[in-house]
Amino acid sequence: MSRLTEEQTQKFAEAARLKLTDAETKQYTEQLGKWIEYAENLNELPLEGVEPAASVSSVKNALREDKVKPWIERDEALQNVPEHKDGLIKVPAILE
Amino acid sequence: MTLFHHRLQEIQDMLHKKELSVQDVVEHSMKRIKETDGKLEAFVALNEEKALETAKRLDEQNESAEKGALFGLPIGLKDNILTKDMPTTCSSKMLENFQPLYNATVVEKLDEADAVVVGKLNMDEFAMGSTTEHSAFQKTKNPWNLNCVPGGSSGGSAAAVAAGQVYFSLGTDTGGSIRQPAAFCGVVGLKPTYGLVSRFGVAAFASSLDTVGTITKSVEDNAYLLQAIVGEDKLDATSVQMDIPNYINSLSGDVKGLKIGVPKEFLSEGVDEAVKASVKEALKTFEKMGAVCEEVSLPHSSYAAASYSIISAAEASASMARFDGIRYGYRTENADNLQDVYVNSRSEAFGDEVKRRIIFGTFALSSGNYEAYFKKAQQARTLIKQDFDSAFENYDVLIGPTAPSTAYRFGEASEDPAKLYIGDLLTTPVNLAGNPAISIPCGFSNGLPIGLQIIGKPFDEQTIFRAAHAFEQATAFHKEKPEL
Repeated sequence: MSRLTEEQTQKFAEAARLKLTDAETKQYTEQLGKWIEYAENLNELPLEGVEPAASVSSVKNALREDKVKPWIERDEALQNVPEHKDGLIKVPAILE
Repeated sequence: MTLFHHRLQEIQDMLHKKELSVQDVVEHSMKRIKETDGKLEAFVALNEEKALETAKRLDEQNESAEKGALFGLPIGLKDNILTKDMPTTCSSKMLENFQPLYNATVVEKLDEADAVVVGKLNMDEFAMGSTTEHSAFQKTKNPWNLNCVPGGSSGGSAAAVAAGQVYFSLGTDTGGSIRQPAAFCGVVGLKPTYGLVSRFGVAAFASSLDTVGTITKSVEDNAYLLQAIVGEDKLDATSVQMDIPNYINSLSGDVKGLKIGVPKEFLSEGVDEAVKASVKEALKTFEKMGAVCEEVSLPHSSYAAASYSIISAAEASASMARFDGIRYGYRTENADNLQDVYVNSRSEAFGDEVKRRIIFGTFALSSGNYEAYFKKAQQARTLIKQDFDSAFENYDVLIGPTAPSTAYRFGEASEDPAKLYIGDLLTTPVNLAGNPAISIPCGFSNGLPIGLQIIGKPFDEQTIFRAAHAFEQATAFHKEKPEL
């Protein structure tokens, strides 16, 4: 698969909670197609049996005590909330 | 000669002897910003009142013997580093009005070192880009030529230091975002080893690659600044517990016997002749000082850009999932239901480059594509890391160009995305492997700076500093300043 359809691009956008204009869909479909071709250079590599590297960190299982510490108060935490009421975050109705 | 051309210790001495006050130093920074930022547009926010307040407090403390290592020095921060005194926007409409409730660990450390944060610096939106043209707010210019980009994504951080607006700055480097703008702006930029500097309170782009690093006008300043921000942080699970070396002591000026590997892939076609010539000249300078240069191969580095583009987009799609219009950030006014809040908030507030990477990343992680793309990218990453590990069995540092060309003109990179892929070839292998690397000035072409990249072993920033400092002592490139 080296080319995508516009429907496929829209499917990936929807999965990422993005709505695209027609112009965006067209543009991203073309760019994503090129990008996939480029990414497929990796097919030249003999990768059989090579361990995937999720991280290069030398740290394993960083543990700390599970202890309550003072942190931001509720009023403060609500400062950046776009809409809130009675100390709770407000969103449109979930159930009709 | 302006105040910021002085060495760090000279300024400290003047402050100590009261020939200068911290308020003078901070006012100098503010004045320079006001004079030049109309042209440069490096800053997205200034914190004049608070910075002068801090300066006043430090002047009052000047009597006491206990002074931080960066006492009174004005610093600018890339705007993805959380500051509780100032908004943090990531140069995105999504966070245009976001006011952090706490400081990043590096900001706390700067505060302990008595540095003065004067403002926040422009960047590509959420650090995705390499020209700073993807900021939602403004286009930062290159101080050497206002028709050129400063590089990116830490373009504001590099431009501000080059223009003498601040003494130094912090940036972040996920695929080259400190080194490349440092090269384009003729300053010193260090991407530390993954895990050396805490990322707590720094907005995530691609968490297995993101690092916070230092941008300065000299190697010595860089060592001082790094010293102040390193160390284990319980709030960043990837930060490493280790004995922190004294970086300033590593600036011996002596590189006799230093074994330098020169990756032949870094001087291949696609790199401008002027850049190659400067790098070769720099290698001769090292040889004259007694270092030994030999060609080496990183055979998988040509796959780094592909591996990087998949891994970084995949991780970015996950990092950006937190922006849903509910708890903070932009919320749409066009929503009848919860789904609309998510979709319309994200679609209205993310810029083009961010959307593109989210979609690419979602593609690479989707079932059916995961094995074919994401897993292969991670396997290639293993091979790229092994290349570095074996090269470092024989060499102390690897040296090559930081970027394949000097700074692009505005719009040039988006017209020819191949330029960006070639650019990624030089910097992304280092992020994939996790090693540290610095960019230092090593020449000019048509009035624009060229950067030399020195890559070290993991957690061996000392040897990088030693080599970079010796080169700086032997050359005068870092003394050139842009006229503004």
